[in-house]
Formats: sequence, C-alpha cells, structure tokens
Amino acid sequence: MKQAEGEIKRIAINTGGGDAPGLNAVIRAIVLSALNRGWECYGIRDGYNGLFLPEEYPEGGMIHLTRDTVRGIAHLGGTILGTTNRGNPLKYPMKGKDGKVYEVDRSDEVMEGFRKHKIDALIAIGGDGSLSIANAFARKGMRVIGVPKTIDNDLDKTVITFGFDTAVSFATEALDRLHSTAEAHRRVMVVEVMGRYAGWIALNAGVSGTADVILIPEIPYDINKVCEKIIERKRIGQKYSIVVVAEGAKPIHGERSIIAKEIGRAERLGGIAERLAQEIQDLTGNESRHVVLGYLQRGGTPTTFDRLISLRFGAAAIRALEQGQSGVMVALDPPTVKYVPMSQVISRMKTVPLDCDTILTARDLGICLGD
Amino acid sequence: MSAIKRIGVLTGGGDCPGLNAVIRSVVKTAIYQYGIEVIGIKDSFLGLIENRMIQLGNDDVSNILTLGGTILGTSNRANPFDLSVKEGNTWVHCDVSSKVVGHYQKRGLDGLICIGGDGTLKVAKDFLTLGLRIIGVPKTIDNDLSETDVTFGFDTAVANATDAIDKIHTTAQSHHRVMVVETMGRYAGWIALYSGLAGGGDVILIPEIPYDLNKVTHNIRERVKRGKRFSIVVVAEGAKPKGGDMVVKKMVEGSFEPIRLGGIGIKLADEIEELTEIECRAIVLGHIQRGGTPTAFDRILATRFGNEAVHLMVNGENGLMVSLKGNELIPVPIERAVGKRKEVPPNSPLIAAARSLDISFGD
Repeated sequence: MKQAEGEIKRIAINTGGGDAPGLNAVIRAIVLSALNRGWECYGIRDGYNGLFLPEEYPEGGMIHLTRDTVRGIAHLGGTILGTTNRGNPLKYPMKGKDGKVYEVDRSDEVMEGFRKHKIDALIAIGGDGSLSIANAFARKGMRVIGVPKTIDNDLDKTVITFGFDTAVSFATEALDRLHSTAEAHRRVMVVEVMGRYAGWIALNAGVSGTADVILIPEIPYDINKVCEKIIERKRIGQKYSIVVVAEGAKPIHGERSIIAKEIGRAERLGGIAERLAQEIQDLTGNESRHVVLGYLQRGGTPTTFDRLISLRFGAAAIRALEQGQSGVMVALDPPTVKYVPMSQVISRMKTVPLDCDTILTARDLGICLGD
Repeated sequence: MSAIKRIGVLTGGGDCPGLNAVIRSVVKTAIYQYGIEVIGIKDSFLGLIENRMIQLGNDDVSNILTLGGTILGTSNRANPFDLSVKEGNTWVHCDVSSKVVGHYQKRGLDGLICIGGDGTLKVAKDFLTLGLRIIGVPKTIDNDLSETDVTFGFDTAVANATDAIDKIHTTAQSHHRVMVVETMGRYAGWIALYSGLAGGGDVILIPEIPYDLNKVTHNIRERVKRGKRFSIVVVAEGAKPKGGDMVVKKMVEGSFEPIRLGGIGIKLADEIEELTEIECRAIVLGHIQRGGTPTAFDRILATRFGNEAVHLMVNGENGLMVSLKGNELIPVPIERAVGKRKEVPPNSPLIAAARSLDISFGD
C-alpha cells in the first residue's frame, strides 16, 4: 500500500459492470464525505465512456456531483452515473478495417482524460472486472481506491459486497411464492438464480427459502442424485419439490450453459434451469417447470443491510484517500472496514468453501446438493 | 329450512392467490352460520373421480387466509367427461363422469362449490345436467372471465408484476437498455395493461391490439431523442404482431388449456435490438406472478365470494356463479359466464388514458 503524494482537490467516481442495489448509496457517501473535506466530485458516465468517448455525450460525459445531485438517492436501485458491461478501456471492442471486431487498449486516453479534467484521484466502484481496470490506472500513476460491488458476492478479501443481501432477499421471496404454486400443482419447480461462477446466491437463498435441492458451481451435480431426492420426497408424501440452481452450475463431467459470448465482454451464463427441468421431468415423470429470476435480482431498492454497507464503504473510500492510500480496495472485516491491495482481490474469485457453515447447515437439514 | 346438510368444495385450474381465502370463507360460513358440513375435494375433479376427500373443520382453515396456493390441491387436466389417461406411451380419452356422480352421491353431498376458471366452470356446468347441485366461484389471475368485473388473484398478479417492473426499471436505466417484460394473461391483456400502467411502462403490447414492430421501435427511438436511453416494454404472453400469430411455447396433452403461450418476450427483444441497435433484454415473469400471499383486496374479494357461494347454496340456488358487478355481488348463470372471454376493449378508458400519456400500444 503505497503512500500517494500531493493534495487532493478533485476526485472522480466511476461505476462499472452490472448494476447492483446500493451503488447510489455509495455515491452519496463518497460525495458528502468529499464535499465535507472541501474536495470537488465528478461522476464519470457509463463506466469510463464519459471520459474517453466525449463525442457521445454532447451534454458532457462528466457529471458535477453536488449535495443536490445526491439528495434522496440512497434508497434508489441502479446508478445515477449509468454503467456498461462493454466499456473496458483496456480491451475496448472496435471494428477494424476488415470489418472484424478487435479488442483495443484505450487506457491512455482515459489517463489523458483524468489530466484534462484535473482529476487527482479516482474511486472505482465495481466487481473484479472493474477493479482490474482500476488497478491498471493505479499502476499508470493514478491515485485509485476501489469499492467492491457485486450481487454475486464472489469478490475475494471482503466478507461481503453490497447488493448481495438484496439479491438473496429477492430470490428468497421468489422461492416463497413458488412454494405455493409448486405444492398446489404437485410440481417440481426449478429456479435459476444469478451468481456467475460462484454459488453464493443459490446457497443462501436456497437455504433461506427452504429449497429441497441446491445446485452450485462448486459442487458439480449428479442428475440421478437430484432425481433420487425428488422421488424420495414423493415417497414420504411430499409431492412437490423446489430446486434452486445457480446459473453457473454444471453436471459432473458436463459443461455450463452459456447464452452468449461476445468480444469485449464477459460470457453470459444461463439456460441451466430449462435444461434441468426437462431432464427431471423425463427421469422422474413428475411435471416440472422452470423459472429464471434474472434481472429482478439486481434491481430495486437496496435492503437496509446493503444501504448501510454501501454508505460505510463510500465514506471509508474517502478516508483512505485522506490517509494517502492508493491501489487499495475497501473491504468488510467485521466489525470494521479495512483496506486490501487491489492486486490481491482481482487475482482470484471467492467461491463457496465446501466446508463452510452454510453448506454444513444445508446438509444437516437434508437438502440435496447434487453430490 | 334448507335441505342442505353437506357440501363439497374443490379448486380447479391454475393456482391463484386467494383460493385458500375462499375455502376458509366457505368453511367458516357453512359451520358458523348454517351448521352444515364441508367436504374438501382433492386436486379438482380428480378427487371426485378417485374418491379422495376430507372433511374440513375450523382447524383446517385457520391460518390459511394469507397463504398462496390451495390446501386442496388443484389440477388443470381433470375433465371427467374427457379425461386423458396414459396407457403405455399413448394418451386415451375416457368419460368417467359417472364415477364423479357416484362418489358425490355416496359421500352424501347436497351441493358442490366449484372454484375455478373457464375450464373448471365448463365442466361444472356439464354436471348440472347429471343432477349435481353446483355454485361456481370465478377464479383466474388473468381476469379474462366474463360476467364478473374482476376475479380474485388478479390484483395480486398485477401487484407482483408491477413490483418486478419497478426492479427492472433501475437496471434498464443504469445500462441504457430496452427491457422487455413478458407477463401472463393468456389471450387477454389485463395483467400487461394494468402492470404496464402501474409500473410506468413505455410500450404495452396486448393481444387485443396487434402491434406493428416499426411503431414500437419508433417509440423507443423517439425516447432516445428526448434523452431517455432506456425503455420498458411490457408484453402480454398472448400479444401478436399485425397479421402474425401468438408465440406458442408448447402443447400439453390432456390439459384444460393445451396451448401454452410464451416466448414473445425473447422474440421481441431480439427484433428490437436488431432494428434499433440498442441493447435489449427479455425477462419472463412466469410463475412468480401467481404465487405468494394475496393482496388485501384479493383476500376481501375471495372472502366475499366464498361467503356468497354458501348463501346461494343454502338458499336453494343451483347453476349460478358468484360475480362482482360494481361493488355488488350479483349471481349469474354459469353457462352465461363460460365459453366467452372477457378481453380488454380497445376503446377502454384505461387505454385512452395510457395513450394520452404517450404510452405506445404498437398500433
């Protein structure tokens, strides 16, 4: 953790990647904490696009953030700055002369943008993708603090990220609703939740929503074990079952289900629930339906927990800058907030440990994990 | 005095928030006001075919007011006049209506309260000619039953869909995307219209107004020109393009509703993305619309319906369906209610109001 030199007069905030409930609360905390120190705040629109593609923003790609701008936004979902999944300046997709799309490094244009706008420091709010980008700017000499954001909770070195609790709460509520339908029709309901390559949302929502089967990427599943559980439930008079499946789950010796892979962005997972529902119906003869929760998990108003974490993270980011830190990410280490080098965070993904307490709880409750 | 001593109650078709509230109201009214017995029939008419019934007492219905689903179970493939039975790998159709009549008589039922949608009520109507005494209670989240202003379950479905649209709004806005939200509703656009209006949708597509894709994309582009780089399109599962067809997801043998709609959302999202080059995503709300605890409105309506059904039964009525007109409960003959769908009238004041807010219906 190096000590940065020079006085701070103006900072920029960036939100990147998928939106997560709590982003606006972080922005609010950053802006108020900065203004209270006499620093100016600018928000970069849509990832870094506002900074290096100014031609796309006739009204300005940088938003001057004041007390008025951040008033009444702590409880709003989304981000007032806008975001993008396709705006990685290190690998920006551009059409070549041959019509093919290539990934081009445009990070120097962003650095130039920082100089032009007299930005002394950057606070980047994002997941591992966005934090990797931010770390690259730190290495190019920018003063950078990262704030961890992902509904998937797959970021390393922090106990939790904001957005996760809201996503789990919504998924749990959806499971509650599906229980009544599944029971009334004696169906198997297969519910696909987000989480990318980690099973945090599936596991936490599945246990809270009293699922019968939970399938996560960390434990490749055996379809026969899943069907055994459903048949066993039928035998004891429970004629319906709820299966929660993470979008990144995969069968033993099988592949993940992928919707799309495009240049300049992460692959999009999805489709596992539909496949699984069909397989379960074929193998057990029990009517099965699938539901994909999708974007509903990342939208809407953040829970109190997420709001508080977001506000704490935002304020902690400003304290880090004040202490002269750079290249670090704010992390939750209950009961306190600490700072960890960004390079450590982006090097690995936090997946569900197979011996963690929630997994043990699931097994103790008789929930099938497909193994 | 009434000769009614014991009545049966069954729930048929897709589940619907408020079913348990009706059952509770039927049981409590029967016991406390009239001192008559209530027999719960399992899984719609299947329970009468297979003689699976249970006596319902006060304890059976306490604490179920808030629960979604139905404690009796349901089925949407239980037509005793044309029951599909799987023999080996083929489906055969058989008429087992005499079993129903037999079990009805053997159990000593003096009447049957059938809670269901169009499919269930049609079956109920046919049993009138076989001597069963029947009172119908209209049920559908789709609100497409004629002869009643509204059905219970609809308000909850609309509330759930609106809630979902609210959530999707923030993502659409942050990512500058077009989000296409597919709602239920079968061949009627009620859920899409109500939730689209309540959720601030920019485009609402319903089966009653076939859409022109160019009009839809025009509206989205106009919004971009005004600085609104995102749009919310709410589409009913039964919506269709002008001169085109509804999107059928699959056919289900032996069901009241063999044609299962679905897929329009994804199709539309692909088309809009191609034409406008704006990133577009589809969300199918599916079963989360019909699950969960009923809204206060639906609980009250369901309670009134159940209560009225027992009154009618005890007063010697037969072949009637409970119905809401304005705020009055006015019974109508079941045969008048079934077989015709209540659609959204294109000249409805609600559509006119939406149009004046510049909401596009794609026409």
